[in-house]
Amino acid sequence: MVSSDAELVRALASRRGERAARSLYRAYGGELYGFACRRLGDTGLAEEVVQDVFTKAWHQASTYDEARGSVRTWLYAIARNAVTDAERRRGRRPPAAPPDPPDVASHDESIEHALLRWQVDLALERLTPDHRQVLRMGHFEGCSLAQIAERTGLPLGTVKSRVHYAMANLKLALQELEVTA
Amino acid sequence: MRKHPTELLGAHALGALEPGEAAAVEGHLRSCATCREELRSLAAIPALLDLTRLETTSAPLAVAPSTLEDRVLAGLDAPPHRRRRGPWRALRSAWLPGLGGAAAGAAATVAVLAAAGALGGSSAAPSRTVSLTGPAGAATAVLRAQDGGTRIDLQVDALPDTTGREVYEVWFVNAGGRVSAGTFTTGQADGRVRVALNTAAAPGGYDRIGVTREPDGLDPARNGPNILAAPLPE
Repeated sequence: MVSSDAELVRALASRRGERAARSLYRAYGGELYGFACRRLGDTGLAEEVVQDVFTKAWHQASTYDEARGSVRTWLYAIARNAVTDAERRRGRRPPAAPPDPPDVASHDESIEHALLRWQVDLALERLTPDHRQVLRMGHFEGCSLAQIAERTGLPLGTVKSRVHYAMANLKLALQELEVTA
Repeated sequence: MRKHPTELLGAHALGALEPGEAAAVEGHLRSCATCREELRSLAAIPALLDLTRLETTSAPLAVAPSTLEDRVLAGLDAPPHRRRRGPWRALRSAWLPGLGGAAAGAAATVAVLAAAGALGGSSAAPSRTVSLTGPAGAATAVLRAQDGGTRIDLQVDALPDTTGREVYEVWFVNAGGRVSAGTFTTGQADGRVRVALNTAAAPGGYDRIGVTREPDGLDPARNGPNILAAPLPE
């Protein structure tokens, strides 16, 4: 039987709980680990964060409300806070209080920004190297389609098609990862 | 253009069309809502790309070890407090006597308001208010459940200022251990401060909330004295 993510979360509290937890881990555990690794720069801490997230999801499964958001959003919300907790555990001083405007010169990237950047990188990883290549040339190097064709030696028609599919696939990947800019 | 330039919209969003082509696409868009909508759905992409350093062969994103899955599954039933390694574990017993009860002459008073939005917060989630006291100061904590954890709005009424790397740290405590809910500093001359802490920890399962003063916020060892405490009612 194929279960939706929301059904899996509901199953966490039931006798099928462990199987549901395993399915959810397989769907999201890798991503959450990668995000925690990047943010914390410490694989040990990242593993603790992932354990934390799924343990909290397990205990708080009854509070998940499908109407308020997707399971992906819910797990990432738990992860965002778990990563922040891990940063504090490690001893990094957090910002004292929100009301002050963020320090523009600060080297600290807000966790929301780090999470957005992570999601975009995840989406890009789902593209083929050819797609990433034309996006790099078209966006970062400011090349026109004709310039991409010239530099790659590909026919202009191929370049047009490749850029079209690169953007379409990236849009789909961002949608699947529920990226909101 | 009479035909829809669908295949060019992605390039147009990137600014990769020649001026003549771009003008022709713009001309079509003026009278075609479908293509306008499609372009709109692509228009956010350049700004998102700017967040990254795009390499053709992307640096591999970290992969979780294969053993992590079983460890996560095995750990699910652990009680919700964090299992920690390190020197502070030995300090658990420091919480049991001392503040938080009638001992040491510190009266711990509790006022709990379980009404939704009782303190005028904008969130619809019910909140609990706890008054923490200790010999050197007092604070009021409003705890509100939120996605992924808890928000604690802390109003500190009187605490000595932190200096250097000192931080105050908030904890949820039970007999099995404690979990940090965040740190803060105070700098105003009169010791008043408001902080909002967002933490993945939740007060359920803990019977006390407390504040310690840690001598060095950058040192992972946590061995500071208890400053404030209060029971967490349930």
